Amino acid sequence: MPNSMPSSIRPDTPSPQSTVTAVLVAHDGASWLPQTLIAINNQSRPVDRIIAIDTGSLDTSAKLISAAGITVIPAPRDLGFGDAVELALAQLPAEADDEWIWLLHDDCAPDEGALAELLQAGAERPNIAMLGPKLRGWYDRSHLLEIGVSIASNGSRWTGLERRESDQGQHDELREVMSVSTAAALIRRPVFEDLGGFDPNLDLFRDDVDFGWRLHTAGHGVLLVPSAIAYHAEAAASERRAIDVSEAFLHRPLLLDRRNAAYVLLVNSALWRLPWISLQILSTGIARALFNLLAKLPGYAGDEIGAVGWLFLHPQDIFTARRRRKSKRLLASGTIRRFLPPRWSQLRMGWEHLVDVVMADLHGENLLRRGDVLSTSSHDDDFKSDEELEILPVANRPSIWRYLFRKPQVLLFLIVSTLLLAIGRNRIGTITGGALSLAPNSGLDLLRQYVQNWHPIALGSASVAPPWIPLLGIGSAITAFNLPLFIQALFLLTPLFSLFITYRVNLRFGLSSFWAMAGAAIYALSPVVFTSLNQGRLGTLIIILLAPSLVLIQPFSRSIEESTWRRTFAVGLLVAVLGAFSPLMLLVWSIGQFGLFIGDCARHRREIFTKSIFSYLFSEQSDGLQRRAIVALLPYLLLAPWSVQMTLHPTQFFLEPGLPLTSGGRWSILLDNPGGAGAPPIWMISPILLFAITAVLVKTLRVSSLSATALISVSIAVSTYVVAGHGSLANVWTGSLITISGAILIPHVLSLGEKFLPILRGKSLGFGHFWLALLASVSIFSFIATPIWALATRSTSLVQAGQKSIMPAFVSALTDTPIRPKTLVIRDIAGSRLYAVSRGQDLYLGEPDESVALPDQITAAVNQLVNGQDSSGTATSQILGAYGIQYIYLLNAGDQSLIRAIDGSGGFTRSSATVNGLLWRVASASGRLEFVDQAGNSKVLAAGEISAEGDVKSAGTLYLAEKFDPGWRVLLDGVVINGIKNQYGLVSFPINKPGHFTLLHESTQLRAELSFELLLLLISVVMALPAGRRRGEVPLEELV
Amino acid sequence: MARRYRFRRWILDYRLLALLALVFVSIAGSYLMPTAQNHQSAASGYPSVVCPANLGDGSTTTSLASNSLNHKLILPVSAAKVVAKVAKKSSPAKSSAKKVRIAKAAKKVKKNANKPVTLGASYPMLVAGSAASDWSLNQSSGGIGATVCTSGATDEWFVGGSALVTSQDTLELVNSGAGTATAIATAYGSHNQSAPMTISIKAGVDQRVSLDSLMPGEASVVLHLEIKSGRVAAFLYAAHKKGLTSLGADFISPQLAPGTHLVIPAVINSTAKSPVTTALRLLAPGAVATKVHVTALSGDGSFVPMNFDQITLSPGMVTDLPFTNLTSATPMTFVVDGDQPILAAAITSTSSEFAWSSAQPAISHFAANFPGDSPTIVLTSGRSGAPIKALVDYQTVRGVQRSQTVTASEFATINLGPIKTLDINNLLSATSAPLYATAIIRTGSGYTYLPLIPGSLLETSANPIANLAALARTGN
Repeated sequence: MPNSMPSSIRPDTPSPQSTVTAVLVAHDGASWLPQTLIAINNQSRPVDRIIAIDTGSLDTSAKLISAAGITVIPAPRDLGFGDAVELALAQLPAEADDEWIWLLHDDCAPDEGALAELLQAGAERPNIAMLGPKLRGWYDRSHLLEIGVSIASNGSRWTGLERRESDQGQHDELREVMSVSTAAALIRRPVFEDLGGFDPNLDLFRDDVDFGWRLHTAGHGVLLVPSAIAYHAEAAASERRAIDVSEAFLHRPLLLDRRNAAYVLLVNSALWRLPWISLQILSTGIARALFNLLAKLPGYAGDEIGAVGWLFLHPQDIFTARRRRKSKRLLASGTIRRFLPPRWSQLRMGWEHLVDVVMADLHGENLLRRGDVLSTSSHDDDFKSDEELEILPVANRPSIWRYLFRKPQVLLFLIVSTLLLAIGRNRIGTITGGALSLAPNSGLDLLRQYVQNWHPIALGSASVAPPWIPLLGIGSAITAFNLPLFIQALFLLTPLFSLFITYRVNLRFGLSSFWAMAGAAIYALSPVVFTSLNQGRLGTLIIILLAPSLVLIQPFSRSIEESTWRRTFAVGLLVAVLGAFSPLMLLVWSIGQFGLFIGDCARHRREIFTKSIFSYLFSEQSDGLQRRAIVALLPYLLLAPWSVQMTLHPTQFFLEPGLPLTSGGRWSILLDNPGGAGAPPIWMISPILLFAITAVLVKTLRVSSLSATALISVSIAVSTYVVAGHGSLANVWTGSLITISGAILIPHVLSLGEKFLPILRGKSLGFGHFWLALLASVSIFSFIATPIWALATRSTSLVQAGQKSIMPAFVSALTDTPIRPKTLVIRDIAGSRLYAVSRGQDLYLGEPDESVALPDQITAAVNQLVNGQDSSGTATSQILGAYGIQYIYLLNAGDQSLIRAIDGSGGFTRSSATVNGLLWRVASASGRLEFVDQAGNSKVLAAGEISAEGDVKSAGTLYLAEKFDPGWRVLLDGVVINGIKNQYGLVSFPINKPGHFTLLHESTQLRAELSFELLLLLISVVMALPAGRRRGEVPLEELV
Repeated sequence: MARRYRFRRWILDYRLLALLALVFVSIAGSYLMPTAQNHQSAASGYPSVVCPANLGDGSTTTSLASNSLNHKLILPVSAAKVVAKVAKKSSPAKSSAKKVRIAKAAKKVKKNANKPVTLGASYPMLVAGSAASDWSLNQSSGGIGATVCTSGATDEWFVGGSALVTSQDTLELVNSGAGTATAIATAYGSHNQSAPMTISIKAGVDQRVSLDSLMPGEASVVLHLEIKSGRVAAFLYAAHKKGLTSLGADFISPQLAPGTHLVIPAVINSTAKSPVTTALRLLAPGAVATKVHVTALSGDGSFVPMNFDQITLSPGMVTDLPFTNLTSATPMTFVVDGDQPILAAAITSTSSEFAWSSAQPAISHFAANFPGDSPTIVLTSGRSGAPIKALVDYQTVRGVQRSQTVTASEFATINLGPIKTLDINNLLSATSAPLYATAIIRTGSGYTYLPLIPGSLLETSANPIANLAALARTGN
């Protein structure tokens, strides 16, 4: 409710004796005019003269005004606000020196004391030429719209208010401002006319800011009078009426607003600031356009770009306006700097606005879903939901600590947090071990790694990097791209996060707090979680975090077909992320969805046969089928070209991120234990198998039980399959599938338990009681015993912090030298003799996934070396040397026969022998890049990690110590020379003349593929994001 | 609502059966998956062995296990031509040599494949490994010495030799590898030990080191040799002279490591020409004094030689203990037990010849060619009362193949007459009933002990697997 009597009006204070001429401008304002006219009429200090301009209203505006006894002057429909005011004033010549103009919009109703307060304040301050009231919302009258207005350096209209801020008197102080809205603004007429009124180039929007700026540079002031209040509907800005002014191109309000904002900045700012301001306007326009595109508002995006473009195409308007202002300027344009918003305030407000928008969107959805949940939740629940507690009277609320500690979920989180800290004590620091390689220092390194076409691993690889690499790099933004810290946090906090996420998902699924908490504990403290932590299964940890969200989708049910497009794309994106971290999951998903797609096609076979398959698929009747096709294909396409590479080499689907590691067999997996080193013993049974049996017996859980059982069955079937890849050999890790099956089963079965328990209470003892007791016992045992086991065996975890690099320091130091030496490392692990080629550094994250098999020549040479079969010659050292292998490093040398074999082979010289290992130097090993002239003289050339550049002085051959790949090129003085595979399987380039060369690996195809992937990702993200609403679509009640 | 979740009346309904069937099929499917856990292939073989060069002033003949074996002389890499002296002689006395290129020599030898062959060489010889052993017999003016060709070891002890002015003991280090090798030799004497001497041996070179350069004037030497790098075979050749008179020569066989139970299988008690004096050389290389007990096993039974029931050895000091009143109708075995790891060897001397008999390991099998020698084979279990059961196959110089099973308690000797081949197999468990064997070879020039131990053992080395896990970091 508006204040009936502003506090600052003193009844004994005489009203100032000034003339007030009110100018009311109307344009299709019949909706608001009745209140506006009443408000004008009810002013405690009546206006002395009033005139109205109707700019061609198509409604009854003119009649309403005339009926109120106000003279109405008709004007063209495209007449701007400033021109309308000028037209009105022309009808009413000035009567006195202290005459005031009171500008009124047809959608603005001033409070009854507004004019009196404005006049009072103006009378006391002769330097003030313009005064404005505090503007509140038309519908929500506590909603504060404006308390003065300014302009940010990027053109934004700046009010300094938070989104939907309520007026509680927090801004009630008289203060000078840059400008006030023209709605109910009071302006000294002589000053107004002296300055030439509003800029004729600003028909609508930002004319107030411009006029305020000009007032300040002319030596006047603008005052906000908070005791004067007006209620504004902002009909034009909120797109409630057509924008018909002549300057409004295509009648688009946003385009006009943005154009005028830029205009105001460019015509009023100091000349030297114009380049910087132009740059800001341009960059902000592009950023806003992108944001609008993401919000699926292409019209607004076009407005942003169009406004900037239009302005830059009409520079003469700006120069003319600047000349006009110069004649009236007494002070520098920077005089208004004190009213400009600080940059950090803009950023803070921008961020808060974004958060508000997102939270509003999420909260809205949550509320909707929670409403569903509450309506279906059990009345026997002893635990009140958060919302129920929220609505308790404040006086009855316990203290925050007591409140928190009374909640069992908080206690559970605290207990789990303490346990995890104890379990993860050995993982504080840079962690490696098991399947987990060393993390680079920055997440940005992973992004760089992803776009590289040639990977300098071992003897080189041109394979496509898996998409989990950039995803992890982007994820590390959480820790300011400190990747080791991010990985450490992931390994330390995954159980806790998954506990929290699963709890929230279970709540959304419809479980009560207690059952949601129990389900979260079973899931987050399961054997697969701790096995993944102990074995360094990075991909599975991400699956553990994301899999609960998959439950809400019910991917194999028909809900996908009945879903929205936005949800369809969101599912596709989620599965793409899951598939990036678990190719096996991607394979199962694709096959499953393809099967469902075929099933759907079979159901619609009549329609398909009547039309062709394609015309049916693209018809409106096949909306569900299209969605099914999207969720089946989108993840695969988003993960291209990696997914295509895997399709061409299907065994790669069975490889999880990182080094392959032997895991458990069929019986272990049947009991939901992935097995392998660092896995709990098999007797530490998980209840998932019992859950699967339970679910399969209930008809309503058929889809979930079928999905979960199928995943478990696939896991069992492939668990013994030994697959080579990622630089090693091991049986298939099925932890991700086990995780997803658990995530699917747990909420469904607990939901069943929650609903079945009250029924059992009323029944005599029977099978149901025993079965439920068994489920409960096994579940409790599982989530208590597993973390205790993990605590007791934490020191045996494969993943530990502070592990040492195996490479000798001086070899590592040579890594970045121009020669870029390689080292053959031979090492015995678990009874097997292993070897690998290093480039002097540790094995980093993602490198195993990008590696390819070593050339046969190297394999044969190493076998000869180790078996001492090359005792007569130096063939082994020649082959190794040709590949740029400068050192052989035998780690933890205990096998004297091997040492003797290498010693006995020609071409190897002992460099060092320490307790850590023995090092031989390979005689006559070449550098990474070597030039041999026609006389046979060789010279090592400086080379980078991938490319190189330099000069050759004569004809000859350039040898590159990398595995052959057709992508290698040399540009010799701009002429392309393709690489040739030589007898060792290396790359060589015939050089027929001296010149400047550039060595590079061709990556055009990869760039094209990644561009396609990025484009598809962008489209998918846009499709998955909530659509923004045009202001015209937002109910006015929400805006004002 | 609750009705929707009601269990079906029969638990064993079709859905549960379907579940069980699905799990069963998946388990069955898992058995069909390729489960090759290990792609690691293995390569087995006998490492190449090195036979010593002709040391001393006489000649050396080498008996190869087969003439199909590849072999070559070890020469410096820089040598322009690789030459070998090849002798196809059945008797060393009738040996004649001619220079041929090694390739031709190999080709020539292969023409007579699967027949034993005896070669003589001035250079050390690298011979491809085989199940049977190759051995060399050195005949110098003063006596004979025999040693099994060896693939070498990284840590060896030579118990024997001296650095007196009458001694011309030489350590031959043969680098059969293609890179420079490094060895460290440390000599122990009766009062002290020498500073370690680092010896660098170039590829394809036999480096010879006089024992007196390590510990001049020392009468009792034990040499410790550590091969730090390279493929090196070592031989210690001892030769004694007094003026122009030769006092004999012999190879001193190495011991791999000190032990608390050492067996010196064969020590002769007498020769046809002159009486024999016998002494035992002992060294406790550890840091504490060691108590030693010696038992003699012979055809006459086992006994403890006088004053050898409890000997205390000072740590790090070589002790020579002569036997007195040692009589037996047969050769003897000395069993030396210590409470700490020790080294031991026995020397038997006559006025014109001496021979070192070293402690040696037990065998399960030994095979070699003998170019017409008449060795006396001593077999022992190395423990009083412990049984021996060995199968001895041999071929006489007339080509007659014979077989003999030797069954005895603790000790046995057999004289086979002139033979061409010898094959001994322990018929008992090698771990519970070890078998030690030595051949005593007598020629007109003297006598020597040939330890019947394989020169190379079958080595199975797995082909390494290319695996990036080799680059993974290690624990703290």
